[in-house]
Amino acid sequence: MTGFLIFLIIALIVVVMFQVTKTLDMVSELRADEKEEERHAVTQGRLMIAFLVLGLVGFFWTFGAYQSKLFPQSASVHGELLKNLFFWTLLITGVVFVITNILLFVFAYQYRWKNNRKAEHISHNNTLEFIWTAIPALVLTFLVVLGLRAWYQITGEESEDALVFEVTGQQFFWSSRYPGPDGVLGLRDYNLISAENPLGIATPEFIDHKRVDLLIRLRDLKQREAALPELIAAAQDIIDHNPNPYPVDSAKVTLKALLKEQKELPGLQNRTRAHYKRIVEKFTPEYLASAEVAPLIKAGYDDFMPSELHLPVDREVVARITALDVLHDFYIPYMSVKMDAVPGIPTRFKFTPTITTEEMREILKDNPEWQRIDEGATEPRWKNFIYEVACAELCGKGHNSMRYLLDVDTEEEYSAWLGQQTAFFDLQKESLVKWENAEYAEFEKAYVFIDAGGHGDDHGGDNHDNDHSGEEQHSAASASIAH
Amino acid sequence: MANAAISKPASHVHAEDHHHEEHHHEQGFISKYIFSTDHKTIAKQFLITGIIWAILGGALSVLFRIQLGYPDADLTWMKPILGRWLDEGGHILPEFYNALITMHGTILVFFVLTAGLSGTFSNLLIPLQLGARDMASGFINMLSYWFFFLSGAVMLASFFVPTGAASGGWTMYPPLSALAQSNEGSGFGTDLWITSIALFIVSVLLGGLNYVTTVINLRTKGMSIFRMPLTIWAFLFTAIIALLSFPALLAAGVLLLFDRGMGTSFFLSEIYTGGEALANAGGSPILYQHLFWFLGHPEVYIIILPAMGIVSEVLSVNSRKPVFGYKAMIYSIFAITVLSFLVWAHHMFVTGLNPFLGSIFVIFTLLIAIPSAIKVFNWIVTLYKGNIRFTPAMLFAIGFVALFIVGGLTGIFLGNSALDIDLHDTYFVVAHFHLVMGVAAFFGTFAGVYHWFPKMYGRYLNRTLGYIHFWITIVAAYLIFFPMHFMIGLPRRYPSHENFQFADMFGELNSFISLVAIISFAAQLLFVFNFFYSIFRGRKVRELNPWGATTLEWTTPIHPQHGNWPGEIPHVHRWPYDYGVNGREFIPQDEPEPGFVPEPEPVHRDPQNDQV
Ligand code: HEM
Ligand SMILES: [Cu+2]
Ligand SMILES: [Cu+2]
Repeated sequence: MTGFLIFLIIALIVVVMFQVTKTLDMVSELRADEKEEERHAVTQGRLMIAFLVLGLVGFFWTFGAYQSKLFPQSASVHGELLKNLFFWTLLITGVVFVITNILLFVFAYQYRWKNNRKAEHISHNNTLEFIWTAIPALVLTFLVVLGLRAWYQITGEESEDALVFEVTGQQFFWSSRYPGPDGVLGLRDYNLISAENPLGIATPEFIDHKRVDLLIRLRDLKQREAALPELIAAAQDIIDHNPNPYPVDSAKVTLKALLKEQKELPGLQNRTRAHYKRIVEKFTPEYLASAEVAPLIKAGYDDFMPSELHLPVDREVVARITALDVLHDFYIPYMSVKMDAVPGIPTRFKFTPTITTEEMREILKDNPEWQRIDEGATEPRWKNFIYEVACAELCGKGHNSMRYLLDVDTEEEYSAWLGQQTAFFDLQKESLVKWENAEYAEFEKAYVFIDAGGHGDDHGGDNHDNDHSGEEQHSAASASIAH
Repeated sequence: MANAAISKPASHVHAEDHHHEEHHHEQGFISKYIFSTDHKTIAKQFLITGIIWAILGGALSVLFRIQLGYPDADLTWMKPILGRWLDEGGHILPEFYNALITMHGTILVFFVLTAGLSGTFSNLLIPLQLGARDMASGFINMLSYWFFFLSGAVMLASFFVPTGAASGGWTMYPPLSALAQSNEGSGFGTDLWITSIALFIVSVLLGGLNYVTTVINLRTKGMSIFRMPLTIWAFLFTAIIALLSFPALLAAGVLLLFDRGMGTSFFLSEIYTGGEALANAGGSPILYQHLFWFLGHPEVYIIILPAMGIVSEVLSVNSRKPVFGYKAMIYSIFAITVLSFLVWAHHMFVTGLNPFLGSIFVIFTLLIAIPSAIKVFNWIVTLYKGNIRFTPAMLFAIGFVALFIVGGLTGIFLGNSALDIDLHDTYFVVAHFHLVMGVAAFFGTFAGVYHWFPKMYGRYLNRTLGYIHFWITIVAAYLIFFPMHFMIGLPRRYPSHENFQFADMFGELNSFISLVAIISFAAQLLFVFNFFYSIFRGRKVRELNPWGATTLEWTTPIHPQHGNWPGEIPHVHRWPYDYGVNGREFIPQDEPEPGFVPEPEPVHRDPQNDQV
């Protein structure tokens, strides 16, 4: 019904339009005389001027109107630099904007059609053209120089004592990691990620834990695979023999799902097995004990993972930015910090916060936009101000919900906060499964290196590797580094 | 209105004429309107297909503007169309929002502003303005359209995929676009997206080859390159850019398909998703971005150059003056063409790009502002001391210049890598490229359509509706996009900003913008109405050269047949901007200099005639 109504309305509009247009065409045919062009020129010319004037008024008005919505002050050292650059660019482009628009619309008005006007043949003017090539060139050079100075300052090396922290984006939240008292972030590997180790910190204990994790998974998959035929037969049986339609329908759904699962299981097992092998192959005892890696492994024990960022004011910090799944972008609007988080390729951003959260609240107190009281809130917005981290690279359906918080502290507050943090490893160590405890070596033989057993030689070097690692590494992995 | 005295001496009737006549015999409907090889028909096919896509793409934007401006609106009544993309409250789901912006961008950038603009006017004007009977290969030209059509059909089909259309943004960055488990739209919808774009690229390449070949080989006698109208220059360079840049996107698309389905790791490395650590190692998501933007940036010039060409022509014809600095315009187009290949990484300043490399791209990017500025100044001075006829085409051309100014100027902010840290992926960028590319290219298209409609259909578009269309559109364009500059820190591609304290203060402004967007969409429907009405009922064209232009397309009959000129192709004796010389209002290009004595004609002087 509504559909029909909408159709009717549209049809009506089209018919009316049709008639109106027809009339307009007829009128313009009737009124077509030599004055026609002049009449249009007058109307359109006036509209041009009106547009120019209103436009310019609007242009300046918006600057005033949105002043309070723009962030009042940059809360980082390079942010101020950018404000300066923004100002110069705005000034220059603003002048060009106003002048060119005035010329454009005023010329349009001034030289509007008159029957007795003769257009002048002006084809070019080299001097003029040289001037308006040279001026932009000079101005742009100025902006490039200003811009690149800031750019190199921002992207340059950090100082020795800069504080390092790490942020990691994943669908759809941020997490962070601090290096702990040693000041060095421990090694990470995405293969080691598990519920107990969400960033994949690489310590022998976490490595063992992940291996066990995968082995148990493999065992479960194997068992599931064995159980499936029976389930499928049962579902088939209902479909074939049960006359009652309801169970048949649901059995069909079940059957479909089961068959799908059956089809996917071998692939899943293969991938899990490959995953397991990657771990074993990478984290060999030699690797763990090597001069580059061993210190990094060690450094991982005291890393901590707070639920929000804290940074000391006026101290240079470097964010190491990573992503687990897809692209994200670490964005702190107030501090002009923005850097993509790329899976597999860590990026960095160096900055120096200059205003503590408390100080920023004081600053915002005078801003009308922040004096508002939100619906359902009791206090004005500025009281609840806190630096926010957002994601600035499309990452899927939760892209706009990747809110993370950053508290900028005074040195004292920051040390106090540091004092309250517990190393992530210490939080987790009770819940980690230990290799020595059980029959995992057996699992490994049964589920991972299944084809290695009697006829390893047939399969060439690959299996040699596996035999080797399978047999000897696990114990070594946990033993090689004394905690 | 000024009237060209089209003199066509009877002696020019060519011996080969009945050779032509055969082609004008009864053609079947199918070969005349569907599988036509006539460049004029193909141009109309591109235009009408483009208009249909523009309506669809625009409608998608209305939907997501409703989400942004009126997040509480209950769209349950649209359930029959939108189905499971609405939640129980009738709100647009975020997955769907992402699909909307992705398809909006893809459709408008590729189908409307590339195929619809360049496809239409390159096809229409290259042969007509150069004095050729058709494109170098009518058949390849037809293929070009049908590949475009097919590409559109595939894209359309992706809306009906159960997991939804592609939703990784028109840039389709992996890993999001590569991993079906990371994003609903990255399922089969993305395979279709890539397939569709691949077909599209084939279309562009076939078209481009034809344009370049035609411009190089099929100019009529006397049409030396510096007598070509600026439209042709623009189309030529557009085609060259397209030929050189689109293959990079094809490569990216194919590699992406491999990564999606065949376990390769071109763009993937060390990924943990869906509870699984993937085996891919050694690839780089950033590599994709380089390939994408190696097309992506030139693409924006593929879109804007034809509009620039059209605007130059329309401004000149309606000011009754030559384009100011014809040669400077050509050199600017050339400079833009070259530079457009050297700036792509300005879209990647915050990807962790090497800072030195970044600074090189800053320099080239801001360098490109110089030829852009030259063009703007030249357009403005073209008006100076003219006698300006405010046809709707002229209004749109003037509007184009205004929009290009704003957008070009904000480009200067973005091109400075340091400032881009603040601005990247915020509404400032959205404002920038919609004004400079989106709306401006539309204005170029409209200028072209209003101006050459009489050539296409032998009728005029209704002028009053044209005026209304123009004023609503330009005012709306500013009301929609200008305030977005002030949403500086606001991240783009967010279905709502209310999760953030720093970003949730633009609610009212967003509602206002959405309202204006809806109004301006309606105004475009007004144009669509005018277009189709006028094809059948518009005021008839009675004079060969209604705008008093100098170029050759106006020497053809009001309804040119396949082959364009019934007699001999006119020869060219002067550049296309002889306005106001020798006390004449204008002198058509095919008018000989006084005292010109034609050379004696060799027997087979004009090979084009044979080939039709
Ligand atoms: C004066 C010259 C121009 C300069 C310096 C310039 C600079 C830039 C820069 C640096 C960006 C990247 C912003 C970011 O994502 O952070 C950008 C984005 C963009 N520009 Fe321009 N631009 C100019 C003119 C144009 C023109 C003429 C067009 C089109 C006709 C255009 C279309 C675009 C588009 C489509 C994007 C956004 C793509 C996306 O991220 O989806 N620009 N521009
Ligand atoms: Cu995101
Ligand atoms: Cu670009």
